[in-house]
Amino acid sequence: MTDFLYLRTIWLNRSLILNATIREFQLRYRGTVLGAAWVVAQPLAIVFVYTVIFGALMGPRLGGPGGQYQYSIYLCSGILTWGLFAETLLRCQAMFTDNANLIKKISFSKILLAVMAVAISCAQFAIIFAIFLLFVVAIGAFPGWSFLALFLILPIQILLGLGLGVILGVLHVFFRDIGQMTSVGLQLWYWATPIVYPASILPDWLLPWMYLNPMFHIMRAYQGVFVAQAWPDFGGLFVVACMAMGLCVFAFWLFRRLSADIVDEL
Amino acid sequence: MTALRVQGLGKAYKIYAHQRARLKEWVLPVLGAQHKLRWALQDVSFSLAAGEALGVIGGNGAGKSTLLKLIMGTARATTGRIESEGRIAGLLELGIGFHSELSGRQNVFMAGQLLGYQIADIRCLMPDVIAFADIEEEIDAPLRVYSSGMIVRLAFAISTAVRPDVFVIDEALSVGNAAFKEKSFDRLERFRQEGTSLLVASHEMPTIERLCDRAMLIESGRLACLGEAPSICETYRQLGLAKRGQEAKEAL
Repeated sequence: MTDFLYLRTIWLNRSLILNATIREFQLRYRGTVLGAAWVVAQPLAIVFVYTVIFGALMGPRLGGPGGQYQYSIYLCSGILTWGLFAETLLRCQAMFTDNANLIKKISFSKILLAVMAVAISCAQFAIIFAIFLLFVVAIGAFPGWSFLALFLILPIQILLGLGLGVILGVLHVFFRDIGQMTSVGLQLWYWATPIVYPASILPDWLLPWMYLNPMFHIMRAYQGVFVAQAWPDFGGLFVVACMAMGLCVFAFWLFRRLSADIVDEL
Repeated sequence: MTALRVQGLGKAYKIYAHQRARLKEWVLPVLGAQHKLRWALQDVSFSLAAGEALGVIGGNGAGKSTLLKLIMGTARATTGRIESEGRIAGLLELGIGFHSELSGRQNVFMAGQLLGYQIADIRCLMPDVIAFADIEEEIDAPLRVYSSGMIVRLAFAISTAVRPDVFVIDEALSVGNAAFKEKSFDRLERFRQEGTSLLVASHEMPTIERLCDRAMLIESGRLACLGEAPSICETYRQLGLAKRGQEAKEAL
C-alpha cells in the first residue's frame, strides 16, 4: 500500500476539505437569523428534556463535585460525544449516494468525501462542546488534568466512526437497506450504551457483555473524565483503539476493492 | 506526437437479476458468479495526436458517454488500456459540483478545487473566468438567480481556465446562446493550436464537422468506423435516415 490510509491524498487535498467544511456550514445556516446558533439547539433540547425528567431522579445517585448539575454533566459528556459519533457515521454512510453525480462526472479521490464528512461532524461538535466546557468551567466542575484524556478518547472515537462509516457507505451503494439499517441500529446502540442512564443500574449478568460494546468504553471514559474527574481505563481504550484501527484498515481496503464498482452502481 | 492512445478498451457492467443475487454472490462466493455482464463498450482502439480533434458519434446508448467516462477516469475499464502522458480534463456535464445557494465566485472555488486546481491558482484565474463567462456584475450573487445560460458560461469558463493536454467534451456545447457557442469554439480552437487534443461527443453533426478532423462512429458499444469527420458524419446521417425509414416501415 503506497498511500497508507490515503493519508497522502488527504494531505494534498487539505485545502479542499477545509473549504468544503466551511461551505457546508455557510449553506446549512444561510438565510437563518440565528445562524450557527442552531447547531446548539438540538443537543440543548435533548439535554434539557433529560435533565428535567430524569435529573431529579438520577442526580443524587451519581455523586461528585458537580452538585445539582451532576446529572446534566453526566448526560452532556455522553450525549454530545455520541452525537459526534452518530453524525460521523450517518454522513459517511450517505456520502457516495448523496454525491452520485459528482462521482460519475468528475475525477477526484472519492475517499475525500469521508474526510469531509468527518471534518464537518467535528466542526459542528467543536461548537457544541465548547459551550459545554464553558458551562463546566462556570459551575466550577472543570476536570483538571484528566481533561487531557479527551485528546486520546476523541481521536479513537472519530477513527471508530470513520471506519464503520466508510464500510457502511460502501455497502450502502450496493444495498440501500444499509441506510435504514444504520438509523435503526444507531438508535438501538444508543440505548444499549449507558449514556442516559448510569452503568450502575445494569444487572450484574449484563455488565460483562457491555465490555464487548466499544462505545461503552468510550462513553465511560468521557463520563469518568467529567463526572468523577478521573483518568479513563487505558486498557479498555487501547482495545477500542485497536478495533477502530482495524476497522479503518478494513474499510479502506473494502473501498479500494470496490471503488470501480461504486461508480458503476451509482 | 501521440497525446492519447487507447487500446482494446472495453467496459462491462455487472447486471444482477435482483439485489439478493448480489448478496448471495458476496456472502457465498462458492456458488459462483450470480451476475451477467453487459458490455457497454468493446474493443475500442484509437490514438489521438497532439493538437488533433476527434469526434465521437453514435446513437443514444451506443457507448459514447461510457468511452468518455473511461478516458476521464471516473469509471474504470474492464479491458484494455488508456495511455496518456499529459493532463486529461473535460466537461461531461455543465455545472457539476455547483451549488445553487453559493455565489458564482464561491462555486468557482469549489468546482475549481474539485477539478484539481490549487486555491492560489484559482485566485489568479478568477478575473479570466469572470471575463470569459461575462458575469462581472452577478459573480457574487447566489447561483440560483443566474439564468441557465450564465451557469453554462461559468461552468465552461472554469473547466477551460487552464489548458489541458487532452480535453474531453460530452454534449456540453449544445447549450448556451450562439454568441457564447462561438466564443467557446474559439477557445477550443486556440487550445488546439497550442497542442491540446480534443475528444468531442455530440449529436450535432455541424459541431463535429466544425471542430474535428476525424470522427469515429460507435454502434452498440463497438467502433463501427473511424475516418475523416465529414465522411463519418455523412455515414451517420445516412444511418439515421435508414433507421427512420425502417421504423416508418415497421409502423406501417
